[in-house]
Amino acid sequence: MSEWWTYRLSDFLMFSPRTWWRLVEGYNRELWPLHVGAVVFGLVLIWLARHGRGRTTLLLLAGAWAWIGWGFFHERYEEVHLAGRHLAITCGLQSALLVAAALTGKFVSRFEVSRPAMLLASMGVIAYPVVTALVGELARTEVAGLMPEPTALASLGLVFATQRGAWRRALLSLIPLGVLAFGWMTLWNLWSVSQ
Amino acid sequence: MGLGTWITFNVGRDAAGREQSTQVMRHFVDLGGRMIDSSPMYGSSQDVVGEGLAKLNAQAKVFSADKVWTSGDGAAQAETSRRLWRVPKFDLLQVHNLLAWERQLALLQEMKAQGRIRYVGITTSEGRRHADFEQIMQRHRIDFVQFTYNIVDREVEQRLLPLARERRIGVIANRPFNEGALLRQLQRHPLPGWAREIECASWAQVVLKFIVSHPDVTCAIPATSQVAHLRENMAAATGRLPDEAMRRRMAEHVARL
Repeated sequence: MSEWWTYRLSDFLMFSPRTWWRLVEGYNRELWPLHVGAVVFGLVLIWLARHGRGRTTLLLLAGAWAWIGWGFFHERYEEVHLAGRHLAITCGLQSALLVAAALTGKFVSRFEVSRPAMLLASMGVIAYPVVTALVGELARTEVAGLMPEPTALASLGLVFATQRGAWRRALLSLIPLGVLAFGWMTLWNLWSVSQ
Repeated sequence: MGLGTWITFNVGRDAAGREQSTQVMRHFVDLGGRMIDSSPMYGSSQDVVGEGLAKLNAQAKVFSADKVWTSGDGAAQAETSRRLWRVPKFDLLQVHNLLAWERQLALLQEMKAQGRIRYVGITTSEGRRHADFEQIMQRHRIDFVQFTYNIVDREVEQRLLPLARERRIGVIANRPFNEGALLRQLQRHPLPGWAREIECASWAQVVLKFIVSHPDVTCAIPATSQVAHLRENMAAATGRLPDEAMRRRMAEHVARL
């Protein structure tokens, strides 16, 4: 893209707030009542991480990222945003990284699990859906394992709770941080154009 | 008055959004509108336009304007776009934002020579690459140019609009409302008394009449997903248009707000 420095963040917003929220509502409607299972799945991951079962935690988390890439970004988001395909591939990469880390990593023992990391994971699994349900409409609730941002937030906590080594933690956090930044910038843009 | 599709028609597979877009096109055509503009860069918009036109059986009634937006195989992209629009051929194909323009403009000229499209154009927006734009307008045979022009973005009055007149090039004014931001600003202020003199009942009509009353502008392409807004926009293509003195007054008034 030429003269890329002349573009604002809002120039990359390709859809209206109405389209975004209808997409989320439609996606949630199609998947219901999988949300209940997704919350239980998230709680199981937290329990596994808390009890030093790092390998199992990361393998299950890899499955969640594979779904976010396929089920959300490829199947849904790609229809309305050109970045959808790239985001789907990026989620696939995160899934592969988690599998690789699960198979080769050194894990934190159950006695060393970081409380802030567990808090972060809980924010993704419990707080995020509750807040999105309360702030918006119930049909727009964002649940970890089904929507990108709560999954990314929970992943940051679970990676730090289970993984040893700064480099491994950093590598496994890059994509979740990017997904969070992209998602929150999109929401900010949607809010801005509504004002 | 034309119809843009950026953001407003990108509704994905949402059936209600698609039906709403079809209704906008129905009223657009019924009110005498012809030119609809889209691009492969607009997400699902091309498909939404194509589905709506097919439902309305209006493919032959509209002036179909689309774009090539790739540094790769422009012909393949143009064919994909044509299928999405469900039209036998495009009236106008434009090089979107001058992306790979040397290659794509040559392709579009060839397609025109073969009768596969009627007209060739180039586009830019928000003041980008105006120097390149001017050179292309001077050195190549272009039928249409598309750039940003509205009551607060008037740089093109200096060089590009006079050049378009000199070279007999049609002008499509995009972003008439600056994606709604201009209207949101203007609507904080009361509609001035002179708006009645040019038969405007809203700020949207003031902004659109300012654009289409420029003698070198062929059409503006406001985008909307609301039938009520579409009707309001189309009304700006009727009634009295501002003369030069009124245009100056309009611009000065808006600049003071």
